[in-house]
Amino acid sequence: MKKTIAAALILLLMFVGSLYNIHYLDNLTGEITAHIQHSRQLCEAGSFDEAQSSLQKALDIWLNAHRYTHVFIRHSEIDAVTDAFYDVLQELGHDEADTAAGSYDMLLYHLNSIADMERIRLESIL
Amino acid sequence: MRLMGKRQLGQLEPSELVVSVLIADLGAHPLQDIGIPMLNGLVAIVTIFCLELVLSGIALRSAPLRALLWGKPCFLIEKGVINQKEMRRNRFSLDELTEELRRQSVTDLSTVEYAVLETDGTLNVLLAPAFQPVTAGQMNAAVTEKGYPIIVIDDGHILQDNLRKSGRDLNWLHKQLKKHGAKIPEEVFLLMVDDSDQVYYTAKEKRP
Repeated sequence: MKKTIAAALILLLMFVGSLYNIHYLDNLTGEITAHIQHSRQLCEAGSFDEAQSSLQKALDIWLNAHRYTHVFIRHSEIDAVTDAFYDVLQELGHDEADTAAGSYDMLLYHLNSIADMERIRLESIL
Repeated sequence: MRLMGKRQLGQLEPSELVVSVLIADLGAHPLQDIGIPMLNGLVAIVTIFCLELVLSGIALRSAPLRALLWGKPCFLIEKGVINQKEMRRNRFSLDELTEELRRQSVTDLSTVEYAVLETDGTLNVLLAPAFQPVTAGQMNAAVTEKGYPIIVIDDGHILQDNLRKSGRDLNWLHKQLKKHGAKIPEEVFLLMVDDSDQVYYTAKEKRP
């Protein structure tokens, strides 16, 4: 009986832990996404330097979370997001608004897919 | 396996076997692929393991769930008659049945009263009364209770706990060593004693 109760408690603890993880990841990706969206608006307005600076902030938040990301997220997905960040930065450096738009989409897609995968939904479970 | 309360693979129920294989596979993936965080494997392992513990804990108290998870034992031979329907249902061939019976030193099918296929896949055989070995009780023979033999010296090492459990002390042990021509416990390979004071002694072979 003790073993069963202990196992049930561990399961409950892990469920609560996974809910907290989803909440934390949502906040992290949400904050980064807000910076990226702001950077995108600046890029579309032709303010490439400000766009670059805003995107750099988003990248810093992403890189500073490396302890969390490397423990919880597949490294291939971390690399995909980091690469997408540098792609956009490179295009902003060349003042290429048209190609940067596609790269922004790619970056947002990779970032959202990380958060999406953790959400409790039929698609992410099956 | 130890936490499941099992010692051997053969003792595992089908669901427990699946859990064991699954845990081994989940543990191997993060080790093989450095791109997968260890935590991914650990969380899955702990979840499956806890689910197994919870399910088996509930099954222990619920016979219908037990039957659903692990199945029920079935009679392949009942009252001396082979149950062909059960044999087919369990995909048990006649060759397998005779092989299992031979493993239990039964070569003549007509001597078997019951053969039960347990949920872990083992076959238990009960011989017809006429072919069962005679017991001391049936013979009204007086038997002396010898108790359970306890190992006191194992490969030259005195097992103090066992010595205490046997109700004897070092003095008794030294007397036994002297009686068998040994000076120190290191000269003894095995020394066992039972409740009737019967001692089994084997000296250690001298290495060339």
